[in-house]
Amino acid sequence: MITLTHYLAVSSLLFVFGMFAVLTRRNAIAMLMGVELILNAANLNFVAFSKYVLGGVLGQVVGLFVIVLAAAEAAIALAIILDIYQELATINPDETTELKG
Amino acid sequence: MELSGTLLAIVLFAPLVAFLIQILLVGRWVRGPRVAGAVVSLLGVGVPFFLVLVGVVPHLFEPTAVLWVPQAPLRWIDLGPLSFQVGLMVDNTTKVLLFMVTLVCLMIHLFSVEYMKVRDGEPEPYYSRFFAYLSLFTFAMILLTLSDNLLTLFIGWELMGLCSYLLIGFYYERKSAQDAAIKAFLTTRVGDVLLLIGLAIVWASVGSLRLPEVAQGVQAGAIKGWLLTLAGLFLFAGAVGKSAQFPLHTWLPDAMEGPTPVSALIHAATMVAAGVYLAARMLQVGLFDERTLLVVAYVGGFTALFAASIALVQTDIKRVLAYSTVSQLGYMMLAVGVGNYTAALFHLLTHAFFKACLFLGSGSVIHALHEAFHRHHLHADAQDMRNMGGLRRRMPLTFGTFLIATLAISGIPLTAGFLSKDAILAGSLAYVLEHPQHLMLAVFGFIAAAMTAFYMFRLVFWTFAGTPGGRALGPEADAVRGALAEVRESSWVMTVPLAVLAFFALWIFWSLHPASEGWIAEVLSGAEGWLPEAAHRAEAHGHGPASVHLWTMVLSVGLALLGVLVAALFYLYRRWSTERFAQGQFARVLEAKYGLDALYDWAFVRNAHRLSQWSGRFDLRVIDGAVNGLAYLVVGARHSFTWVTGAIDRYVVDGAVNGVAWLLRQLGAGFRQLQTGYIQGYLLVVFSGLVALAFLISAAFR
Repeated sequence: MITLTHYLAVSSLLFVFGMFAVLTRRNAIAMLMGVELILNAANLNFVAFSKYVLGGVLGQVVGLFVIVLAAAEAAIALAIILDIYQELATINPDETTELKG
Repeated sequence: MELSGTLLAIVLFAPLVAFLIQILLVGRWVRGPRVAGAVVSLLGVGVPFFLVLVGVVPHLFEPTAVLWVPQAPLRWIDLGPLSFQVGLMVDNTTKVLLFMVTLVCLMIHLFSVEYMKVRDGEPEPYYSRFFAYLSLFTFAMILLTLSDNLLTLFIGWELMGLCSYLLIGFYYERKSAQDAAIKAFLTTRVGDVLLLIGLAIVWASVGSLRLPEVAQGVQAGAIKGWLLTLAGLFLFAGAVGKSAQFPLHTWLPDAMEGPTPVSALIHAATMVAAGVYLAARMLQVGLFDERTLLVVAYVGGFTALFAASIALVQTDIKRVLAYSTVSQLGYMMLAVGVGNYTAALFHLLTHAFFKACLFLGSGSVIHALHEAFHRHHLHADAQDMRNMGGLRRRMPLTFGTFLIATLAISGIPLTAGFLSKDAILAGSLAYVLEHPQHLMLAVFGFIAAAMTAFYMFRLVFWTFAGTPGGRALGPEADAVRGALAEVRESSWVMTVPLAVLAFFALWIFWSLHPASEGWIAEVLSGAEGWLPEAAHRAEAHGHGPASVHLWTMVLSVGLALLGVLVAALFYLYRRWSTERFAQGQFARVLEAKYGLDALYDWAFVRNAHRLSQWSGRFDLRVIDGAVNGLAYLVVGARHSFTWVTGAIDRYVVDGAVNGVAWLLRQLGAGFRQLQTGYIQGYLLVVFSGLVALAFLISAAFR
């Protein structure tokens, strides 16, 4: 029997993996992948809560929105990364510190 | 088809939509054939016409006069105690007017498709703009006729003023066109301002501008005595401006500077009809009392005669027609003045058809001549009747329709014009029999009738009869004659509208009996349901006994035939010569249009120029001088205070500013430590915050 807790556990794991990727990778694209994991963790939560707590399809609908949003975000982020590469010849987040105060 | 609010709304807004499409889309983003613009406009008028035909015309004879007054009229402007309600209203008057307006506008649109294609041998650059303005014009007129209140009526009224400005000045590269446009706009504006004052008086005393409520208010005595007269006179002044009555008529002949279809539109279906319509409505609701009506009658009667006399000597084909319009409008005002608004509206309708036919016919002639002259590289005036002649054989269709319309305007039996003019003259004769002291009113009307026949047939004989170019003057006369021999009949796009309009100039549509008003009088004089009972009393007199009708008929037909005969003797058979008359003093006065244009130029235009020059000088010397003097004073004062302000500036102000700057620099030095530029460092802070938040929330809900 799979309960809400199982879903939450999986999504927490996903979130943590995503967070780990975002914080530690030395490649901006890999960081982006981490962001995707985080978003999907949140998606899983939406769907799970919708199924077990709310009922109806609201959660699924929000999930769909998040997917669309993630697509848009990926497109823009990749474009930015491309630009950064052309400008600085690197996408290592440790080396892109132009905005240092 | 049911007559509903939706239907009326479509009828009203279709031309507006056509206008918006054209002005916003066509030619800017939509790159299609140039005719596309014309098609949009044709639909914008064609759809309303079709809807009127199937939706309004079948209800013409229904006993209920008011067909649709909105149950809950739009609350349009709501400013506390001031609230204006607007709605659409269809009564008998509106029904027939709608039919006329949409049909005539449609015909004019169709005619323009061909007429406007070419300008000076090149494709017309502003083709779709022209149609856009035509559509807006149509919208304004429909708005005016459908309004159940004087507010939206006034809006339509002003919109028409704008459109007339835009269309008269359509050939804006020509100085004369610019001047004519400004003249039309300003002259009618004089009337409009007075009209607005009249509306304000009505609003202040009745408390509403909706026609039924105004009618009730007047009945209840909310406005009476000299105030009523004053309001009536102001309202009539608006009609005088719009319908080009003496003394504000000078703009209408100059409006001939616009393209010919525009002249047809202004003179037949829309602009000038608005003034007569307003006057008839005011008579219906009772805002014109005895005193006002007398003024209306005299202004109308005098204008009829006055304009007809000027038309006698004009040589420009369109100017003759323009003055004839002024004269015919005078007839309508005369009919309103003697309390016979049925006849006024009847003449308005028939006049719209035959005058549109006349103008489009002259347009057809001008178009053909223009083309012929252009091919021969002539600079002769294609509108001067002396450069015409003998066109009967070259343009048989144009000639036929033009002749029918001419017979109609001259009041020859078997035409629509005969029926309506007869009704007006009978009304004025009956009025004179009741009030012998106002004999002049009938005299004006009858003399003008003879003059009308004379100048209209003079026009026909000069244009269509005789030898081609027989009256041409100047060095190009021979070349003109050669070009005239090659003139061709216009294409069907132009002749079909002529034929349709000519049909309505015949008696058969209006009445089966060729000598008495038919169904139209029944419809127009039928009780309008929204009017209080007593309002119909005004209609009661104005018809007179049957013998009056007979006498009128004999007199008017006799005078008209006399006019035709004299014109024929002068210009067709050349039995009499006009030379002695043309050299006389009277002809010179007529050619100067009684000097009114010169008078206005002297009294208003020049003085306005002088005033603006004077105020320009005032500006330069007095105001600029004052400003410069003030500046000088300030400069002097400043020098003496320099040392005080310098000290304050240095120690107090600078100190404060520097202190703030120092503080901010210290703060910045602290904060800049945080901005490392490492993205993942920021993200670490973000996630730490997130974790902290999660802990806090879970602690709070425990």
